[in-house]
Amino acid sequence: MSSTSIYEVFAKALALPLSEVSDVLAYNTISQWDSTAHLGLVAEIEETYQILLEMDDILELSSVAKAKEILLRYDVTV
Amino acid sequence: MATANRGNFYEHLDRFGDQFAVLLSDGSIVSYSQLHNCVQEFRRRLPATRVLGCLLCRNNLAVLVAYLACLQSGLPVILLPDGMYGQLLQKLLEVYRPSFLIKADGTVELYDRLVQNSDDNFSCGAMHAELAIMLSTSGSTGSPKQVMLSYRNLQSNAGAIVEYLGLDASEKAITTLPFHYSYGLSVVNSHLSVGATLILNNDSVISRAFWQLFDATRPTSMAGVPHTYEMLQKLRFHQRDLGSLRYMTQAGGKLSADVLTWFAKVLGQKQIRFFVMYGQTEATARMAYLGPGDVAAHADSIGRPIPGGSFELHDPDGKLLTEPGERGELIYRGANVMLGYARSRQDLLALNPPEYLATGDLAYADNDGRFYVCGRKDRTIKVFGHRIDLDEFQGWLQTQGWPVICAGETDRVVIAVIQKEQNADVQVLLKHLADRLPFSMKAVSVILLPEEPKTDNGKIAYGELLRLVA
Repeated sequence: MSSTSIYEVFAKALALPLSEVSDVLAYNTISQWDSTAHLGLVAEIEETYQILLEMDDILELSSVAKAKEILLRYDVTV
Repeated sequence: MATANRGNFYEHLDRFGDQFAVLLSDGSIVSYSQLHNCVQEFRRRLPATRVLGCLLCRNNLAVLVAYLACLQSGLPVILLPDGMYGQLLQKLLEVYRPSFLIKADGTVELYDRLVQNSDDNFSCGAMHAELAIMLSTSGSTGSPKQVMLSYRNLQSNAGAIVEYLGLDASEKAITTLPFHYSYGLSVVNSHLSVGATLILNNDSVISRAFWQLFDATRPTSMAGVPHTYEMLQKLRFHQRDLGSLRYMTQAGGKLSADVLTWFAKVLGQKQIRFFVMYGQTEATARMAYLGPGDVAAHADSIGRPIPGGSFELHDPDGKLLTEPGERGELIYRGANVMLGYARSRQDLLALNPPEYLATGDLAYADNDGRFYVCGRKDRTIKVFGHRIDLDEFQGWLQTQGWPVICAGETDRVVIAVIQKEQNADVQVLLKHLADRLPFSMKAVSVILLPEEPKTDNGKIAYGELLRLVA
């Protein structure tokens, strides 16, 4: 369990100001979140919450809202 | 060679009859006979005389048909990415003034160039007879520089690839790279050579759509640049069903040793053959390969030359180096060496094809004839798979009025704005770059410096820039 906000994780991994991270932020809609950044994001999430994401979850992780949903399945409070 | 007596790979497609040429994501299947008919149909929409065209590429049937039609009709085409930044495309169109443009949906736009350009001495018949296609090496900075490739280049490299990968009509390759990229195109050409199947895909391996298509079509091979492999490793893709895969290829830059070793191991366990390949667009695509037996034991090698090709090493004076371990510039000879570079329309007229390709890579050979790349002669780097010549990149920014010097290494570019007053608007520069660069801005750092850092002998100390942004 960790108390780091998922928004902070996204802001750090995508090099965005925290104010620009919201639930609707989605993969490939901004230049900062391309496939390269996606790998960094996955690594950041895994490190922060000490989990290993399944392949299907990495593919499904297409928005902040989706990430919250997925992390629930790993018993992570975000 | 498997295709030696069958003519060129792009001709007589109907010789493969009902074999599947193309599988599409909507489930449709196109046989070689059908592909042949589509190509004949398309040729009627193209100019009847030998003029230059542009083809905007996506991995779809319309583009494949258009490409084959242009090759069959002897119309040279510049292959460009669909969705290319408007101003860059405009600039290329201004430099080369093509007579037609084919959009990625197969629409043909004809331009009435003959009247418009009657003032220059560029006429249809004057273009070099061997010129087949033109490809960019960077695609990044809007440099009009293109690599000119011949029909013979394409045919010869496709044949060599068929031979060393051992391809036959039972292969099914899923496209993972762009059509306008020499590596991506080489997958297309080699598979068409033997009547094999192309699964036309545009999605990243980090997408559900890709894996749905993968499961539905069961490809026998996949190609990837280092970034593709990093993504696959991160996805832990070895844990899923890859049953149909017979082999995978990697090219487009050096894969880091740990990723390479990891793939050699997991693919080996699954009995999926792993080929690590070396090449350049200037050599059509491939120059060397490291076969499955060698990947694990000689991970740092680029392997041996492809069938029909050969390497030599030259010292800075052009003298041939013959001893194993001696370092020099890697020189390649083979029928796949380009016709030359084009920077303007005039360059398409009088070609002076190089006798060999000076790769710009520094290399040495071992006692068993394997080659090892150990550096670059110039300041060329790869940023997320995109080749960037830092001198060219720096010059591109300078001509736009930015007083900059640039340094870099793999996946990293440092731009220093040299200004005493330090009033340059870094935000404007960052926005300018973000709109134009083909790779993520995460690779780019911009710093302000009052003057250029110099080495003891007065040269620009580019290495210093990298140290400043550690």
